[in-house]
Amino acid sequence: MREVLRHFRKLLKYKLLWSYLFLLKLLISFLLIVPIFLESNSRLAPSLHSSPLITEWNIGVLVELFVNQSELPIVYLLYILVGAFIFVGIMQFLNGGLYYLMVSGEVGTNKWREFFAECGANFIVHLKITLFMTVIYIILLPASLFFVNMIGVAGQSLMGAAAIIFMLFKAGIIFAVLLAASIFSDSIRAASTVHPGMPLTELIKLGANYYRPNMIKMVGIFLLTYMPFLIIWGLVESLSLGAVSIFGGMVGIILELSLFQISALARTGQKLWYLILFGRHFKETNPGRFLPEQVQLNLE
Amino acid sequence: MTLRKTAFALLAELFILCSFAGAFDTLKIVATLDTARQEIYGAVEYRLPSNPPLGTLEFQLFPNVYSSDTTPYLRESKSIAEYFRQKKRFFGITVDSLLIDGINRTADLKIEYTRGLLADAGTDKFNNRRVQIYFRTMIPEPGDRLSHLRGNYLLDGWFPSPAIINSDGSWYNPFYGGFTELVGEYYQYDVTFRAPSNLISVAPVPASDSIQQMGMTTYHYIFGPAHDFALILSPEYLVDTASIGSTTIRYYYRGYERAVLPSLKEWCRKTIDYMSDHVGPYQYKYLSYAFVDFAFVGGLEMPAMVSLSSPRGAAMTTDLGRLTATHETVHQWFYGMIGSDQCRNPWMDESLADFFAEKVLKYRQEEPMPLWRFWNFTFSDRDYLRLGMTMSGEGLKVDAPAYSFTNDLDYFGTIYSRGALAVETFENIIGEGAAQIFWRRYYDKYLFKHPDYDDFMQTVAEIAGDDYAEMIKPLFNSGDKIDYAVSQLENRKMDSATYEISFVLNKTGALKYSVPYRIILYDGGELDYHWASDFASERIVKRLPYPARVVIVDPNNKLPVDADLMNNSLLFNGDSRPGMRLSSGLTFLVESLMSFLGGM
Repeated sequence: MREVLRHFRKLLKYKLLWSYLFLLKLLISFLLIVPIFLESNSRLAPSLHSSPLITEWNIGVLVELFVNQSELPIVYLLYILVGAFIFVGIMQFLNGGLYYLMVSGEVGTNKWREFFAECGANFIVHLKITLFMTVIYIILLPASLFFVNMIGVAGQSLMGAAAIIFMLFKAGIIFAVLLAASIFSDSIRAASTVHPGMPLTELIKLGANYYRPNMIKMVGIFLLTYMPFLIIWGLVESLSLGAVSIFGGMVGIILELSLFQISALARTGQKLWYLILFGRHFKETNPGRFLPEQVQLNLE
Repeated sequence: MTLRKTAFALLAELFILCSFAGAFDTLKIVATLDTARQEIYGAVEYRLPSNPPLGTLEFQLFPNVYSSDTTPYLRESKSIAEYFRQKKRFFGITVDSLLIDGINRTADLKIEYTRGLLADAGTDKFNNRRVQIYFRTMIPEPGDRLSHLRGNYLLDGWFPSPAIINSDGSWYNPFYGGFTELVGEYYQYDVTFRAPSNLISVAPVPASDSIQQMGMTTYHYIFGPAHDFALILSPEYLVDTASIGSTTIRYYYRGYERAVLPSLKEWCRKTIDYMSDHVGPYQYKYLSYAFVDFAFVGGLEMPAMVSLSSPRGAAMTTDLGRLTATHETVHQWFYGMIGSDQCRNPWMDESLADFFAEKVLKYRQEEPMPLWRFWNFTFSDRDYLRLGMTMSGEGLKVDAPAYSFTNDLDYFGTIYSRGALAVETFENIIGEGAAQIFWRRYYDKYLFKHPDYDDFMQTVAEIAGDDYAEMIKPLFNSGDKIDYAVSQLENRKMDSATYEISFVLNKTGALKYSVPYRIILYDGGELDYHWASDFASERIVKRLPYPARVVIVDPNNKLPVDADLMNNSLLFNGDSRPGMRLSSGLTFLVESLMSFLGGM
């Protein structure tokens, strides 16, 4: 716990990287949303019927928005998914540099050249890891759903708030399964960083060797770093609710947007914080190319 | 009152009572539930009326809708059909023998799907003959209205029932295609039913007597007038009772459904109170609610009984369960006591049930109660109806037979959602006062009868006048969407004290209604007008002291059936805030999606 908190300070040393990653996410989101805004605003702006949307997420307004264009939500969804996959592609490029910085523990403002060199060099292998992990996720998701459905029988008599809590518990199970898989993904990516050029099968073996004894610890570290984010997220949602109802109008909307961005920024920070801890631990176990030179000399 | 007048009134009352009592024949049923074979076997007995002349005999065999996966009924119940297909098991009803005045006529009987037909009466007509049908019904597992699952039984449409006699002596045997529900005449039921003693039997009335013998209990029920007699049996039922006026309400539930009871009781009471006050009193002594295991989520109405799917999944976390309970309770009026044809005119019970359910839910509430409210998200009953209407196909009429629909979205969207909004529009058009008189009159006129579309319109004409009856017909018998819109708003300064305000009002659909519209000026002043809507569109020009900030057509939402509410108002200077807030939320949603997929 103390170690986790201690490394939060290190996260601040990566504040530029943190900001850039957040801005990239924000920029791509904006690019995706602008056409949707233009299209929906042409229907919403001239109508009084859309005004409840200023203070609440009124599903009725959304129903009317798409009343004559029922195909639009599907088009929007596909469009956003395509955009998200482009973002995933960009992330595979950035993962090379990111995992290099996190595992090596390098900090400094003059590391950008190295960062992008690593990005370019490891792009293909990160892409391969993503494809491999996609298969794993596709297998795990129905498997976790099966498990969730099994325990679902136990909660079938629950009502109201208890039912929502039980539903969240089921979502938590799916989250835990996917989290465990994502840590496996991190292990393979870290292995690719410490052993550049190694074939994927070897990387998977190396990753698995690290993952097996350290999975529980890493899940714990992830959850410890995730808690502050969850608190921020909850606070943001509550405050944004207050912002739109108390301030109303444009002020409320801008405040809400800002609060949402604080949450998005916190999520990027959470993942970086976790990766700092993960990278450090991975390097201790598998130093690979980051093995200090003098130690190598001693061994010889 | 003079003696002569009193005597005349008494005679008149006696005459009315006699004809009323004579209108209901007795349907005698003796049957046994065989839980080992999952069958019911027994006999139905009734006497045919003395007029009109009956050259043929017809009766209904509803369980045959489950006889193959290609029946018109199962074609639209795809999940049940698929299950039966996988299990390679189909169900139905067998007529072991048919006796007319004790003479076996089974050899002459023709069975076509759900239609039993005896064409030849011999030398005489069928009038006054005693009909006895010996039957065996295989109970589907699982199913909808006739089914069993894990030792629980829902028995509706389980016995052969008479087809309906037309005034000319021909028979109306309903066509049970997709989405259809049982249709029958009103009878007095005299039912003797045998079932294993471990099963708790839920019937429209308590058994007048019951005898237990060799692990089997024989129940005797006398019930009517009603157009159906259903039973629900389960070994797990617990029972709770309450009284509303002179009606005893019985709630049958399993242990794990106990938590729903307070809410169910509250909404049951509210619905019965509302419907009794606004339509007419509940006529039966009992009303029973039972939770059952359907192959779908929802409820099912039966005379003096309501079955509700066990509250699981969505029904627990939203208030859809409350809506379902209210909807099914309203059916005790529109279906149970006013028995429209659920095959030919499903809107006459389903649209009315959804319409009144919404009225009950928002009665004495300032705001419509949301079906779902979580964090800042709200979804009201009205949104639910409009979503349903939006999702149904174009060109579909509310007054269309159930079997003319080919998918759930079209059927439920048109009959339930658009139908309910059409009824509300009708009520708004004739006005609240006339509407109150209308529902009472409709109830009095058609209590324990089967009104059709023409009867409904005739009653509208009687209460509101022929013009109103003509005006509202397109709400039900036209597939055209109804939409009022305002466009092209312009403000032009004429001189220092006058602005010329110009805009276009548009209309789609055949409704000829003088629709109100409102101009809100920049000084805050509001001016109300009416547009006769004789044409599809009309440019309106007004000269006023201030420019118009907004023009609203149908400002009080008197036409909830309007297909697009977004174009009902037009702001001179648009307001981008709703669009910006939506985009702000979507941006965060996309960022979250990216964090999930991209890890950052």
